[in-house]
Amino acid sequence: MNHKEAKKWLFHYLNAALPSEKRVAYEEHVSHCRQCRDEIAHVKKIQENVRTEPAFKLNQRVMEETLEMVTREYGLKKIPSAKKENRFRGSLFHLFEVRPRLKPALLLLALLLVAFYIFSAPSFSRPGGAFSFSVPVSILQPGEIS
Amino acid sequence: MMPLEELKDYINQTGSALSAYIFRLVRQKEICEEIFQETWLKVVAHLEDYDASKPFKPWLFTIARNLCLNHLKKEKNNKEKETNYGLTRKDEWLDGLNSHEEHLVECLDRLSSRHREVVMLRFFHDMNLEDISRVMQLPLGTVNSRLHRGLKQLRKIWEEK
Repeated sequence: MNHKEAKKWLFHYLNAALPSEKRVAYEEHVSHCRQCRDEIAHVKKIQENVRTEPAFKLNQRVMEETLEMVTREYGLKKIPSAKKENRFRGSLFHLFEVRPRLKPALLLLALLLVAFYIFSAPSFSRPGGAFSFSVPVSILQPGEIS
Repeated sequence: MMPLEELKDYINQTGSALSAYIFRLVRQKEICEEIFQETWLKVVAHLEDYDASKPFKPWLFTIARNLCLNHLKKEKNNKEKETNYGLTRKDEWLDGLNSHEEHLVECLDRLSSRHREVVMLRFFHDMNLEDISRVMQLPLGTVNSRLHRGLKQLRKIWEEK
């Protein structure tokens, strides 16, 4: 890897985003390039500085209030009933490890499959089939059918 | 569902990091405190939606971020905030800082908001790129490029000063 390329990959290297072959080539270049080593040290220093950025300190009163509010809200929350959970455990869905949230999607899929089967079945188009429909000849006027 | 005691521990552990993140976005002490409390109330309300197999922190930060963005939208000064962010007013919490810290805050303030947020989440909040992409609801590639650009920008600003 030449110096120009190494400059391009500096930030990728520092964020561990270089593929292993490239990283090896980069490290090999850095081992004999003082300029790149200085560059890495400089950017690392900036990163370290960001880590020590003085942060906004939250008021202790706000923290205590928050803990109180959370405790109160948590107490008001409806915990999923054991009965509902047991019903799920005994159902067919549990056998296939399907969560109840997926039920409507599965039912819809089943309905679509049934509909597809019915409409594509030969009985639908075959005369006299279960789903075929025909117009009685008696109500047709002469000349209506060519 | 997460037990109350565990939730309280989370509040104590991540409280200061969360408030720092919210403050960075809204930049107003009172609003920050309000959103902080609202975030935890939302967490309690949607606790059953939390997927315990995934880390808690990104989920928490996503809720806080959405609340901050809603607030900024409501105030209809989102644009103003982004351009004036940190440059027009000195907050009281900055009073006790030494010159190095002040310099750091100023440099970060001069970063564009989209880049600053990624840089802060990565280095200040120690999140990995996947978690940042979850919080910001952005593809991993976008997060990666924003991080690189942010660092480049920050370096340039650092050298200018």
